[in-house]
Amino acid sequence: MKIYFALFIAFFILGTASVFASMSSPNYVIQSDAVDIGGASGASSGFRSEDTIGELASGDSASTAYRLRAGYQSMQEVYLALSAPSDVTMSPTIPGVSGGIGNGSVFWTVTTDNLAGYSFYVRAGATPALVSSGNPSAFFDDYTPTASPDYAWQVDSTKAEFGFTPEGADIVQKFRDNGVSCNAGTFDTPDACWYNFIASDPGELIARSAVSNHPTGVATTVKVEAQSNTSHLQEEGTYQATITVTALAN
Amino acid sequence: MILAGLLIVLWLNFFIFGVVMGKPLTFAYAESSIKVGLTVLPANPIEKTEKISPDSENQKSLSDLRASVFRLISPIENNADQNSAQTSDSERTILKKSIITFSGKAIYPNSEVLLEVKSDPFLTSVISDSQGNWTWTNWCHPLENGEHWLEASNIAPFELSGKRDIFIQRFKFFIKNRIDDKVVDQLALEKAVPFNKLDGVGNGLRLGNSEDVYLFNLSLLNKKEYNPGDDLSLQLLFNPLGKISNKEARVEYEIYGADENGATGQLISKLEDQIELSENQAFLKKIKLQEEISGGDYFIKVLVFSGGNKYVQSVKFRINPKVLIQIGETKIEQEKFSKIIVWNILVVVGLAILVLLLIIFEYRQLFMLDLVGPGTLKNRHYFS
Repeated sequence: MKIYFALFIAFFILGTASVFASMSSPNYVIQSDAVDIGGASGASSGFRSEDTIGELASGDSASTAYRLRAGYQSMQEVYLALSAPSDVTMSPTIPGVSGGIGNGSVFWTVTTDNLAGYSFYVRAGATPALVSSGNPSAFFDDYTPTASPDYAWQVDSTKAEFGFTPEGADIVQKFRDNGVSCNAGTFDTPDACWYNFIASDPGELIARSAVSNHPTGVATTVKVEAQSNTSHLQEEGTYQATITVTALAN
Repeated sequence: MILAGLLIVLWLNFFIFGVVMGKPLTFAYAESSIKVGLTVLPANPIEKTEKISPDSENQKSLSDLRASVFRLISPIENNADQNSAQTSDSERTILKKSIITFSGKAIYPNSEVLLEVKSDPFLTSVISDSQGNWTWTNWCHPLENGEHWLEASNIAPFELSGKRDIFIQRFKFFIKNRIDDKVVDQLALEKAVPFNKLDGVGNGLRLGNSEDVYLFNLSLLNKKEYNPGDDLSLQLLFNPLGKISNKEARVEYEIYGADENGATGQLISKLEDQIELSENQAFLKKIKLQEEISGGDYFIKVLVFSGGNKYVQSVKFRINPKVLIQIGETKIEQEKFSKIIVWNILVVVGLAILVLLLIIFEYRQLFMLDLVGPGTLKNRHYFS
């Protein structure tokens, strides 16, 4: 009876270990796991807790050069930092009659020690994104790419549109190019691959890494462009868009 | 058994939440929001307008103006074949543009030419130069595809035997497969197909049955180039021909922003007035331009509706870009100033990098070799 019981235990321990060892997909990686006797997540309006019980040799240890956080819960602490850039004013101003192009750029640096890296999303606060501050009925349409995305910025002569292109070492394949079209090749040609902002959470995935980049971090630049074309009349005023980026540990 | 049960629960917990539902085991995330701003300059150049008023300096009572008797001097034959719509394509004057510069030669220099265009019927007028040449362009009043004709009535500036001679030419042309590529087409009337049937306003004048026909002219007083915030004075002149039965007229003003070629543009502003033609023939319309308006070319088109006739005239004007700094004759405009600042910053940064490179090049030995101190040579056993 004891032998059967031991085999039963061993089966599940091995089974668990084998499942955990393969716990990775394009969407997540489990960096560590533990077998203990209990634990759960708890949350209130102000706090959130995760606990385990039954782990051995857990806790913090440190020397002058190293710091060890032993135990499943301790190890799950991931450092992820996101820079906070200033607001952007696109330039030059656009003449309402003859039209023109205004552009600007902003970069965020994501720093994480997460061994599985991070994912970086961008989204707008509303649809359409760029709306007149004084008159909500006046806006720039969100960019309408003919490809996914457009290699070169192009707006119909009768329209006014607002879009973006990401640039950086970690941008996803969708925004890479081969010098002619996007979602092809490995280049990150400046001012290529234009797309529209979406407002749904978490937004458009623009950069992703599967490795830690601590302590230097990696910058991703978001270039924004707005154009009122020659056969379009854009109402005067100050237009504003709220752009939110989210960095998630993988 | 208890331990086994716990392990099963744990395993299921990880399997279901970690594998099946794809719930990440790390919850680290960070968010950052910024505002992106953009300023669009006003499209409408008008700050305010004053109601149209009689132009007292150029005023004559309509009753003082002589109702002329006109005498046709052009040789006209009613030719049914030529009037027929059966004209072959090779005989047609076919144009592909909606904006056309019409040109012709009047028999009198410095004389009035009344133009009537159909199928979108409207009247306009132009004054011939000292050689009798005249041109007129339907700026911002495009013609549709199809058959059109134009009747040019050249009116003698003086009377002979109590009558004013009127020389009438009528031409037919077609617009086919219209391309609005912002290029103005040219139509010299001597090259167009003559159209000998006369049933237009000019012939009506000769027969004495045209009513409420005016030579309507439009001009900008004093200048055609303005600065933001300037007042623009528009003069409307009506010179009656023949009888006047309807003294009220509706005036519409349409302002267009000219495109980059300056050929035509898009409607950006519209105004309207009512005028009484009973005692006045000259009017002034004052328009104040906005301070914050982008520089460039504009058209103002004036449409006058009176007694069943529609009159069209357009003038082009320019708004100079706002001057930010002026030193003597040198003007630095706002848009240029931004570019100057950017280029200056680039040049200064470039120079700074150059100076830094020169310093590094000059003192590179300090970076590569240790400095020779008081004990260096002794330490290297030079004196041993």
